[in-house]
Amino acid sequence: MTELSDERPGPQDETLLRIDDLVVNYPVPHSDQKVHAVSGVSLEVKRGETLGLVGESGCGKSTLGRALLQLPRPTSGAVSYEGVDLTRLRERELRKYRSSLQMIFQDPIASLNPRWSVARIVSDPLAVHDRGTRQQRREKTAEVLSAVGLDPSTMQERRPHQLSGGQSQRVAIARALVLEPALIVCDEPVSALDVSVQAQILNLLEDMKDRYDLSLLFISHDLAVVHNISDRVAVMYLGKLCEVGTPDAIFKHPAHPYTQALIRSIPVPSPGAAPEADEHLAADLPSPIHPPSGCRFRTRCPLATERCAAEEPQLVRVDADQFVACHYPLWPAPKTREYVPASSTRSSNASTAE
Amino acid sequence: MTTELAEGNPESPDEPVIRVSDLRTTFRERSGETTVLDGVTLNLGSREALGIVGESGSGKSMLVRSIMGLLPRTAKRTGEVTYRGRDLVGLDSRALRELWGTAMAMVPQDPMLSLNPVRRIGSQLMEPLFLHLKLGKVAAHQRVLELMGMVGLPDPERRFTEYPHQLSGGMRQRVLIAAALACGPQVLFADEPTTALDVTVQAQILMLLRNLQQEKQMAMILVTHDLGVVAGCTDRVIVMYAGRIVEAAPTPRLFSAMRMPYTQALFSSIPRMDQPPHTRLEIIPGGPPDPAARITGCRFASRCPYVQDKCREAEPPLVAWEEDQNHLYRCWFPIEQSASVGPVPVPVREPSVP
Repeated sequence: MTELSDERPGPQDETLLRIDDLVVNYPVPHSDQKVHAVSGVSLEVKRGETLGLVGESGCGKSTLGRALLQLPRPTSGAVSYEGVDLTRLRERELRKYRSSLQMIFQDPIASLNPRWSVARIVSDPLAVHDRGTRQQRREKTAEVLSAVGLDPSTMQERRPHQLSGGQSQRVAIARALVLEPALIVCDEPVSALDVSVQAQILNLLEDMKDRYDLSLLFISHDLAVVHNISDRVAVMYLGKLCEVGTPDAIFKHPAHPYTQALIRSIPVPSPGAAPEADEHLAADLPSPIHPPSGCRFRTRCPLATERCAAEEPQLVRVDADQFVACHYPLWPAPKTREYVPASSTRSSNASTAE
Repeated sequence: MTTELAEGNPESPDEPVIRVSDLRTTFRERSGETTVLDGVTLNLGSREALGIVGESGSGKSMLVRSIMGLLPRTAKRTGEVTYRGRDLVGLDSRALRELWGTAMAMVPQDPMLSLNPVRRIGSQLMEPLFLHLKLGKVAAHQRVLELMGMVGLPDPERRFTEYPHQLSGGMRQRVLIAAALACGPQVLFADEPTTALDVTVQAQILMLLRNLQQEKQMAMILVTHDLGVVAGCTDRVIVMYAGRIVEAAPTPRLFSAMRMPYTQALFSSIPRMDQPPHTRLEIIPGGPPDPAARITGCRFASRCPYVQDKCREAEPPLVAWEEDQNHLYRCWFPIEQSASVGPVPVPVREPSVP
């Protein structure tokens, strides 16, 4: 089922990457069942923007990030980059797009080859893509290392075990930057770091975004981090999007009960501000093998009714910069709400299950 | 510096259950001796929830392990640690083992790694009851069901016969809290108990720990790198840096009137929801000192924006603030707070801007 097309979040003109009704299922070993990791997500990444993607573990946010890079190939749906649907390309054709779409990972030390020098780790993508002469590659490597705040003369001969967590993440960022990509998928890039190092890496990502004209898909479970770095935020729950909007809109007046519960549970660094443990959320995340019917959040939602079990809510606009998939959105305040139904779909991908 | 000022001891509101005096923990290594804790003095009140905050390598986990006696053979403790007046430093492992569980218990960081994967939950929870309380099988079973109810595990009878892999991360952490509480300890140590959990689950576990601590009238030491975590559920906070206590204060006091520049820097490096998106985070330049290095002067001097010559020449002692004897800090030029009459720090160089 297509989420939307007419009211898809984000203007259509500056789209860098466009995801249409993306589905990723994993087979469950020794059975016919499937894990529904991503179930029909439509979203756009605009040129030059940072799109934050938040949700609990197991909500499919990492799978979505990887599926954009065709790692693994999505089950169905389209991922269009510069008008080309990557899901239809063969591995060889896909290769030339790989340099434009890069990724950095959560565990910076584990994502570097322990036997290689920093210089080799960073320059390897250039060699793989057969860019420039040796001398040019060396120069480019030194340039990106300086850009991420590492002194090439002292760092390039080091090996990963000689680096701190923060330095390792800088090397991983340098490796992602060396091919001058258009988009970097950042999968929990600061979760394994101390707060002081986390601040350095977040500032660095902002600087690199400006300097290299990047778009970022920033995946994180930390709402404060996402609030800080994102131009738009997408909240994901059990393989579906609940809410998409600007950080200001989403965090000041969340429209989806799940977003509100997430925000309430953040520990705030001020005394007496105890995080609220929402008792509805005490129930576990339902199994993605048998997701609930209708709205997937209904089993943990304080507002759920029969309608939520019977009918799946579509992502609709509730404010200029805010889209929500909920039958009973919290914003605008229920009394004054003008409900805009999602039925006016100008289906672009012709995959609407009517 | 070997001894702290006598009047600098963090005074607890009630009778201390644990006293630590001039504790020093060193590791023998091939390259020489590494000092991970240097002259730590603190009292833990018998009903106090104490937060210990610091970056990786600050010695916060080592402090907990040094108090409990959970150190590897290469480590050496000097100084004094007493539990209800009883010396712990000289005890052999056998005597210590009798105290673990009954007097002091620990909730570990990673609930995935801390349960035996091939034994049922019930049998793992009954073990300490057999060992320490010498309960019979029926009584132990009954007690385990009570414990499971106490930590909010739904459906205890079923959980009893399940294996760890059948439980979610939050439920496993509840099992481990039940295990820690099994023999009614007086002091509960929780070392980053929520770091491996989702934010929604984190709030529930923190509230559970805080409620149980108050209900059972235990003392609790909560080790974390997250200032937001200590804010909501501790009475007092200790900030550690490079093996030393650098600031200690009642929790509301610490957040309203930080005196130590390090605490301030740590606090400012956290992304906050009340700041607009893309607010540049303040960073702490450089990294913590090498624990093997001998440092004269303040250990934070090389990273401090307010550093003066005096800071490099002599290490400041941990002193009590004249306005509040419970507020200790280790700084020659503490941060001026509006209500205070302390010396005003003069920035001699701007914090380096990346």
